[in-house]
Amino acid sequence: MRLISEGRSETAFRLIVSQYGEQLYWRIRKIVVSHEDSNDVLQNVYVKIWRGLGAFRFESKLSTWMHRIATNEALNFINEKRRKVYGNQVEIGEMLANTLESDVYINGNEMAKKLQMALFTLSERQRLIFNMRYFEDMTNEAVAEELGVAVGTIKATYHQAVKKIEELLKDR
Amino acid sequence: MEKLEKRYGKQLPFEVPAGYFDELTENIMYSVRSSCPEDFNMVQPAKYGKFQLYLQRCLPYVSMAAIVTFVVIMMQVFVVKSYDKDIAEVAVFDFDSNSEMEITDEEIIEYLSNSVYDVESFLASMQ
Repeated sequence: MRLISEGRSETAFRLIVSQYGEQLYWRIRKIVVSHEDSNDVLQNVYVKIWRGLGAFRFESKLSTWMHRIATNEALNFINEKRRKVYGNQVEIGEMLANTLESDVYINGNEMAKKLQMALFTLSERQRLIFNMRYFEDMTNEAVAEELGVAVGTIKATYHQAVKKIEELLKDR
Repeated sequence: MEKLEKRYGKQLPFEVPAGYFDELTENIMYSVRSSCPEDFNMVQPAKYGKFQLYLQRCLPYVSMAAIVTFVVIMMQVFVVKSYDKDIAEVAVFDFDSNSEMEITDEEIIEYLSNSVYDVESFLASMQ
């Protein structure tokens, strides 16, 4: 932390990469689904973190700031990909379902795959909040802080998302 | 949510290539270095002192100067030595021949008379 506060230092940065690399990867992977895309996004995220580190003033937690960058970068990536590949004619959920079917790095856990497919029917915002609450075990307050929205909004959105998923998976 | 967790768990269907996370830090460092080379060039000098950097920069020139000096010395030792030897040999030859080139008047007369004889005999043979 001292090294970071003194400005950009390669040693401090390496420490940040080794400490948060995996966490940020999984945040990105849950949003973009494909491994190759996640890897590309992660590299860009760290370039942005490196460039922004000198100006970071510890007004928020470092991990919160980095996760926010990763989330924004991943969301921008899928929106850009949809525009480039499908010309906005396909919903993001549909595009991600195709990615899940075709990606090489998918394990054989059918239940997990079924849950992911159901998640693709949610809105971008619902899916993001669901992922953070359900898979990352984050509290409503932590999610609210990271996304910069009210705690009540997170609670309501998560509740709606869970209801929709349960409804969808009821008969399967 | 409990229903979901009970039925589907919290597993993700995603995998990563073998050893991906082991190499992740190095891959990211490489990628950031490539994207921001100017920053890492700025970081680099902190590792070395000014004198070491100066030495690093001068090293190729110093090496070249050393090679040229070596070649010049070798040339001095071998080429100039053999040149002196040639001069010495010539001098010895000249010295010896000088004594032989002291031709007497008798020798000149004898040579001319022999030559005249040769010319005359040649002309006679032509006729």
